[in-house]
Amino acid sequence: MPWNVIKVDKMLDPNQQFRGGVFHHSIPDGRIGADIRISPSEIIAEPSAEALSVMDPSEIARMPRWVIPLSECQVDLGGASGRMVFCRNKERDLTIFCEERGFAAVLGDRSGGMLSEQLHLVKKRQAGENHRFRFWLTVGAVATLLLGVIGYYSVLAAARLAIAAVPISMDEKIGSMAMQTIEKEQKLAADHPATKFVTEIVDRLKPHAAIPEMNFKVIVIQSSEVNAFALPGGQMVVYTGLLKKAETGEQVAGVLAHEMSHATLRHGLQRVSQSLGIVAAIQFLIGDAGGLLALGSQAAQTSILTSYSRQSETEADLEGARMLHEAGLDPESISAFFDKLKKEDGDIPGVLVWVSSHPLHEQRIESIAKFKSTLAKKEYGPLDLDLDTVRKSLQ
Amino acid sequence: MVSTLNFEITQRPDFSMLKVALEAGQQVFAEPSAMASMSPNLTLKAGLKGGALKSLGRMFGGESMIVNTFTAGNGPGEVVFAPGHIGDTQHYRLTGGSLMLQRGAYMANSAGIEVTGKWQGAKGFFSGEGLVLLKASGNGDLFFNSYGAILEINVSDDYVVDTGYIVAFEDTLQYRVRNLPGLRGGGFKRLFFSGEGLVCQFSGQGRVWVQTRYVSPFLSWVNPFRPTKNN
Ligand SMILES: [Zn+2]
Repeated sequence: MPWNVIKVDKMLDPNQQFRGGVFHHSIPDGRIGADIRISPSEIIAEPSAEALSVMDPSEIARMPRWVIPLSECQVDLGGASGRMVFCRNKERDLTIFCEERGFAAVLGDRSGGMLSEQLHLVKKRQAGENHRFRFWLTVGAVATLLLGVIGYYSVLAAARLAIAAVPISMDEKIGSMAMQTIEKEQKLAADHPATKFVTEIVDRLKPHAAIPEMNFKVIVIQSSEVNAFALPGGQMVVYTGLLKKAETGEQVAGVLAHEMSHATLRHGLQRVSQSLGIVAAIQFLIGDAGGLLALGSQAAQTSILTSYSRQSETEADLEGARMLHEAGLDPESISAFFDKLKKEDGDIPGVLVWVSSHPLHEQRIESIAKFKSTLAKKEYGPLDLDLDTVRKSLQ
Repeated sequence: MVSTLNFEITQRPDFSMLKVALEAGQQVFAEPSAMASMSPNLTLKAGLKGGALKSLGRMFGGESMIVNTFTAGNGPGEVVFAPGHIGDTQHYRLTGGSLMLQRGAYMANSAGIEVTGKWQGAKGFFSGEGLVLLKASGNGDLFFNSYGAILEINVSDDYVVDTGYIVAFEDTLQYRVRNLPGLRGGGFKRLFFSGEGLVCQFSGQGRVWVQTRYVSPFLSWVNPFRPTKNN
């Protein structure tokens, strides 16, 4: 219930006192605890007995009563709780503040509603300031919802159901946020042969994606890291290290198909719901936005959005294999790439980020092969794109 | 009834100690590890202060559930408290308002003050070490300590402090925990476990106490020198 509709009938006792405080330059330390009364025309504060009892007698003599006429009072909300009411005089050198329940209501009532209106505007303004955090509140709400469902049914199945109910625009928002946290100084231009190469592959695979209307985009970043990843919503990053390492265009297509599948299978959102779930639920129960919001932009970090469970990886493999098959490319292009990496550089884990985040090769290679055998026999053509030119451009 | 303590803070700022002279019958409450020495006529009672719920709150705030009560029996006595680490000790007189304390900053208080672990919701939870707050309210003397020296800052409008450096602030200040991109590197994990990269944005009027050192970088500096086990 907003504070300004609290019933005030019982509070019209003219002598009702509130505990609060005063800011004024004449006070040692600038601040003192005070008893506050609201007369029909003024707010009156006097040092509290407790405050006086620890003061020097000479100081006490100098402590006046502080008065702010209601007609010139400017109100504000704040304090650690966010619910403290501050009343300032016209010169803004005297502030009387109070956090007690009912203070705002009595203040509003005594001022004939004028100060209620002011406080209302303050509240509105503060709400406006919080506006950009609302998105993460929404994420929190979604995660909480997911958590509730998860608790009720079984963990994974329910999470998927719930995620299916979340619009793709949520993936896109999270993805865009994460994209902002990625260092893009080394990004290659859109007309660079490498960028054109991967964009062309994505364009060819797109019609065969589970969500063809997903807004797939790919950028290439100059880095020796052998890595590629997809963010929720379909934005992808490929490092030049991976393009140099790949032997064939099909292998690059394999990686991209796999990554696109992470996006269409919405593994990123699953990760968010798993990671934020409990915390978001607690936070939501308490109704405190600050921390979740602070976390929000960090949660969008790629590390959390691009490291998936074993099950998600296998799913992305098979979905990627399906896409490749539909696009007329060999599904085993996926296996081929990490098979090559493993054979060649198996003992240099540091650089091969993509491999280290994609463990258990044998099992995956095997499951891709098995899956391929279930597909209708088909002649797979070579990818008519020239990886060599791309690689030369990266020298 | 307000309890005023007769106290003295010495060896500031690096190796500060708090000496409290109690009159007969007077009490002081302190974090269990804080006591360094005391007169033999003081009685020490370890226990929960303020009931289970408050203690639970204090636990959330990272303080131990147990607060020691020192009572001067039949005559005056003296007790000396020292922070667990190098740092300063600060006195604050509460007169009806509240002071928010960073967890770990609480040291001691007189009668008349209630220290509760104010559950900050996600605000505190997410920031890990960064910002978990205790709330001290009432009337009386409160003592808190810092890592390094303490700087008092009078905020009159807006002020931003790295959460790792906050020691305490007055309840008249509104605060908002924010992620400040570029402050320090670090992804989700670091945020979650260390609170690095988070700042507290204060607004309104009031005082903030900031410590001149931050524990976490010190630990990372020390870490390479630790003896390691070889398997
Ligand atoms: Zn993957």
